[in-house]
Amino acid sequence: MAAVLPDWLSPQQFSTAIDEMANAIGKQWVIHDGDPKLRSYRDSFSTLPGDANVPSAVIAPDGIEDIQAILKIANEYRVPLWPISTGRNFAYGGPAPRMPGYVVLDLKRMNRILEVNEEYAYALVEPGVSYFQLYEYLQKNNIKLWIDPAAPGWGGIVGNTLEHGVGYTPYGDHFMMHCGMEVVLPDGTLFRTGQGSLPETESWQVFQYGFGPILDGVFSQSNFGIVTKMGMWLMPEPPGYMPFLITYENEDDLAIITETVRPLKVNMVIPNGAFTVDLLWDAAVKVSKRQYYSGKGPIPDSARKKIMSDYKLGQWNFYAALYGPPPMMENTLQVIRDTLGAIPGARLWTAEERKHDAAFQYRAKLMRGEPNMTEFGLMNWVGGGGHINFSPISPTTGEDAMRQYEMIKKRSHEYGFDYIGEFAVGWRDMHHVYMLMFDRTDEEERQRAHELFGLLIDEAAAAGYGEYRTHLAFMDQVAKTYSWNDHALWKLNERLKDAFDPNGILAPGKQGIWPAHMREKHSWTS
Amino acid sequence: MDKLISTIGLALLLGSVALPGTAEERPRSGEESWYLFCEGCHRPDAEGPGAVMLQRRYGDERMAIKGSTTLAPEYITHVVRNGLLEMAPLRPTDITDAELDLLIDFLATPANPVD
Ligand SMILES: Cc1cc2nc3c(=O)[nH]c(=O)nc-3n(C[C@H](O)[C@H](O)[C@H](O)COP(=O)(O)OP(=O)(O)OC[C@H]3O[C@@H](n4cnc5c(N)ncnc54)[C@H](O)[C@@H]3O)c2cc1C
Ligand code: HEC
Repeated sequence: MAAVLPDWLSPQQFSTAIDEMANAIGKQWVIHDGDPKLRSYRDSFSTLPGDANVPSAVIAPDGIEDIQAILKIANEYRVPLWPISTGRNFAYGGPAPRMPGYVVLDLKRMNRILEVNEEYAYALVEPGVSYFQLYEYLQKNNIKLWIDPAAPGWGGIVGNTLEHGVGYTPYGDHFMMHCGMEVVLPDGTLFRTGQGSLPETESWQVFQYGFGPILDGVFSQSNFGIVTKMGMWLMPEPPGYMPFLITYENEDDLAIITETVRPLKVNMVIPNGAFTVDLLWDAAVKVSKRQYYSGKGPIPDSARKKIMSDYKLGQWNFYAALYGPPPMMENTLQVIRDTLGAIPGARLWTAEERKHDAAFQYRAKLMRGEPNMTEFGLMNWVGGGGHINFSPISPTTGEDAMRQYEMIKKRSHEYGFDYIGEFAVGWRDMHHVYMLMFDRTDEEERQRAHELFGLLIDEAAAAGYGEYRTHLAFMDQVAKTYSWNDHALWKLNERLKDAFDPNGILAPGKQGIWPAHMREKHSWTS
Repeated sequence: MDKLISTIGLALLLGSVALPGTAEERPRSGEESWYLFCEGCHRPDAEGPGAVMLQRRYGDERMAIKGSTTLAPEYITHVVRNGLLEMAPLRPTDITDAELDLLIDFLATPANPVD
């Protein structure tokens, strides 16, 4: 099958460009010409049809010089490049590019752990370093530092942080904890942010700001540059660790849980990401839907009740952890008992009591920075692989939590899907993550899921809720909702795009930011 | 202030541990590929979602892929490169063809009972 190409490139121009790239970095790291391995760059879970986002080629550089050589050729022929680091952005697009026909710039080979500093507790890594890899390195070298992985351990520090990803230890806001970047611009310019631009510095990974404007943010969730190194603060292993779960009996308890969590988070009594997890999210790691319900549509309340009692779960299940010397943890635990534990029907569970519970165990690992893959068990709830995350932001209030929950659950049920979700309180905000699970082998169901997702974006925006990130297929739609003052922010993004990337070769359309030469067809800002 | 900065600089140097910063050796061993890309999902217990799904579909005998004597190398290659329902494919930059061969050999060795 001939690959889809960007419509402004002739097959001849495309193949000349790819040949030149292959000459520059080595043939064995270029995949093209309908090679079946290109299929491993699909998003095999999305609501789009099977081969919607297959790239035309993949090129895997190893180092800055390779990247600069590729960029030079890409600029000459206007080849669109889609950079990925570990390439595990599943639920939001996986390794796939925004449009079919782009060339994926796969940075996975660049996986050097450049420095780990135990005293100042940081690491400096290349884009291909995964959570599993960094964890293994620290273990093998007996370094008493914790990483903060996203739930899937095969993702990585750079890609996840650039997407504003979240984790489960007190260092769970990854972008907040990064310190220093090295970036290659589309024209090949190489520079470092923060203190990294002072040639003799020893402070690149200890001070985030440097001198002058802080540019790091400009290279996250954007298409302005390729990040080639990143510093990340690591948490020193604490003298004690105490994960816990509190189960709640009623759906409406979400309101009071959220109201109670807010002061505990804002005052930093709970130091890590606090997760209020709905029944099915927790249960799906352990059982499949079919074991409880063989009909169509969302699982009925009677079956939910049965799952609750079989697995000793709540309608809501609150997970967090305490860290520090044991007497301090004991004191804080008493505060937790007097607040979250005092909500009628609440039951607090310790790690010992949940020793054989796979869901508790994987969260306990994540909250102490041990990467794993157990949360992928969610996919086994319906089977068939389809899933996509809807993740709106709100202030941490009971009213917002209930409003979002009811809104999304109602639509989800209307469209025949279970509500499977969790509310993550980082500090002042809530990330509500609704995982829309569907059977991807059922064409009608896939399309229905796609339609539901689009509807949720607009309804949430109308109620004042915007997504913190989104799947490739919905980037334009979400970008359009950030429309204050006649899309002023996205117009500015387009001006930045033109300044950083005049030929429009880097990740066109990422986050709804289109380069000048594609704007007429895709952009809504003018 | 100068002094302070240089003291910090020195501390940084001393604080740094074995920092090769060099590329790891490729091809990777089968065991290392297993750890980086398979074990998280295929550890043969309730925390391995791949193992759990295989057990649900086919029963206990097919739960573990590590140590299996019945999986054909061609089949493993196909699943790894194309994915299978809930399992996403692995890319050639994750596991090269040579590394996949080593991984397949590793899978065929008996599972370590303490795993
Ligand atoms: C079951 C499940 C659980 C999940 N749990 C979490 C979770 O707990 N927390 C969380 O944050 N996410 C979660 N996710 C979403 C996702 O899997 C992770 O965020 C994952 O870490 C992202 O993939 P990655 O780290 O490999 O990044 P990549 O896929 O490498 O990168 C993500 C995107 O960033 C951009 N990018 C990457 N590298 C560069 C670069 N060097 N320069 C410029 N741009 C770049 C690209 O647009 C790329 O598509 C979950 C997904 C699933 C399916
Ligand atoms: C994200 C989780 C995940 C990862 C990572 C993963 N797998 Fe899987 N794998 C699964 C699931 C789930 C299934 C069962 C699919 C089904 O039949 O529904 C499976 C099935 C398989 C099968 C088919 C077994 C049979 O009896 O039919 C093979 C072979 C396999 N995986 C090999 C691998 C190898 C080798 C790796 C590492 C390179 C790997 N998997 C990584 C989740 C995963």
